Amino acid sequence: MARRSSPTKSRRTIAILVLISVTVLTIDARSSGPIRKVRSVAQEVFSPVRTVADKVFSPFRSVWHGAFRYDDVKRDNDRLRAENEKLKGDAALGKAAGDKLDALQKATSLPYLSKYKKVAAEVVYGPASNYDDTFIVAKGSNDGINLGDPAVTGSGLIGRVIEVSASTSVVRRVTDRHFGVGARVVPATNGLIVGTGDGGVLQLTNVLLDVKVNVGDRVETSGAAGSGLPAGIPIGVVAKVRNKSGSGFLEVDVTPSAAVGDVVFVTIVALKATVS
Amino acid sequence: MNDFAALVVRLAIVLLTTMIIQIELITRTTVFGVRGDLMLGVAAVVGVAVGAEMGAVIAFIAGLLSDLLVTTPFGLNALTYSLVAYGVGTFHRSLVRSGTFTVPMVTVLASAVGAAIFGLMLELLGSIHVLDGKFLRVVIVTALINGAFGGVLLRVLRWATPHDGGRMRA
Repeated sequence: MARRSSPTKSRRTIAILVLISVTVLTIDARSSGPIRKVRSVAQEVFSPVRTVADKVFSPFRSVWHGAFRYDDVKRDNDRLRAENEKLKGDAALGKAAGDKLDALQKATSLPYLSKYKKVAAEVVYGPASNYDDTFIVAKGSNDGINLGDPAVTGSGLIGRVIEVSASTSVVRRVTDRHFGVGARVVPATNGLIVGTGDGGVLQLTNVLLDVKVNVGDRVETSGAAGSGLPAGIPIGVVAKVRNKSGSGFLEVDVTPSAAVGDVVFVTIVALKATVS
Repeated sequence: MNDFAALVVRLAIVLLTTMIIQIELITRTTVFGVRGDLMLGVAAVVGVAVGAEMGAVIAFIAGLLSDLLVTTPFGLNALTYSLVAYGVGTFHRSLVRSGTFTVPMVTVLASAVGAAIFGLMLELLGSIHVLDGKFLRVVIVTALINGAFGGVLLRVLRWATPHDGGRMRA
């Protein structure tokens, strides 16, 4: 049976709780500094708990996934079978396969941002809520990572670091509705790339109507002052161009060049630590 | 251990365990592209378990814990959860009698209201535009997932907050 308390006292309590919530929300909205620090400390404190929980829950997760993600499990199984067959064939090819592997490694190394320190990081957690398009990697400020550093793969931009603790970082995906970065359609049309919340599409905004943009054109970071990231990181290719009536700007859909939703490892480019 | 210390320890165990289950299992699985929110389920049920006032306080703490691990505005989960628990507690107090399906139904309804409040407040705060097709999916799926866990959550919360006629037992 629920504990009874007077309606007046209950109302006073909920009023106080609402007031505290609104105060905290206001502090977060005005300056994210203190809140970011609290979240960063929480990530750090919770990190070992997560590590232990990860191990404890591993067998449960297999059962859970087997029960609730049958489609994924079946798809993974089919994919692994196909990969296994392919690997068997490659092994038979001997040296040719070794050469192929070397070529693959070269292809996956980053062909851009060579002057910066790079930190390979494993993705350990995906989004924690329905309105987050973020993930957590197991590398943090101890590894030279700072706020705003880009997360990339050989194919292009994945996202950007928005929170850092000593051993973990939170990365906001390029597809998140909060994401924005200065971009250009190669060779020279500048605009702003923003996430749409739809995992498969980005939008290039602020492109004037008289600029020629074609489907298939490459889009990369512009590196313009205030754009947030260095120039030359591949973002995607133009998928659709629309004339947004009345706005004076084109509406350009861009398909990300990297598999933004499926990353297991990313490279964080430590922008403040250059390679000598 | 005195009553209050026992209550704090038990609640800490329940909230932290729920949070770990949320992170390790619930958020790693999507149903129609939606992740469940078990902590919202706790907020919905705690109002039934301990009443409006104490329920709102416990839900507020659960919300703050959730806020630590997401990137949405800090305090929004705390606000939503405490309103949900208060509403459920007040509603449940007014019920003359409750049947077998009362708790699952209250959990479903309260979770739907909570998910809707959260989305609407995100929109109002100008944080992001959330009122699209996914919003309705989030509300429905979150409510149904929490409804499935409602009975278990109530048992666990009653274990964590033991009391008898308004006076807590040790």
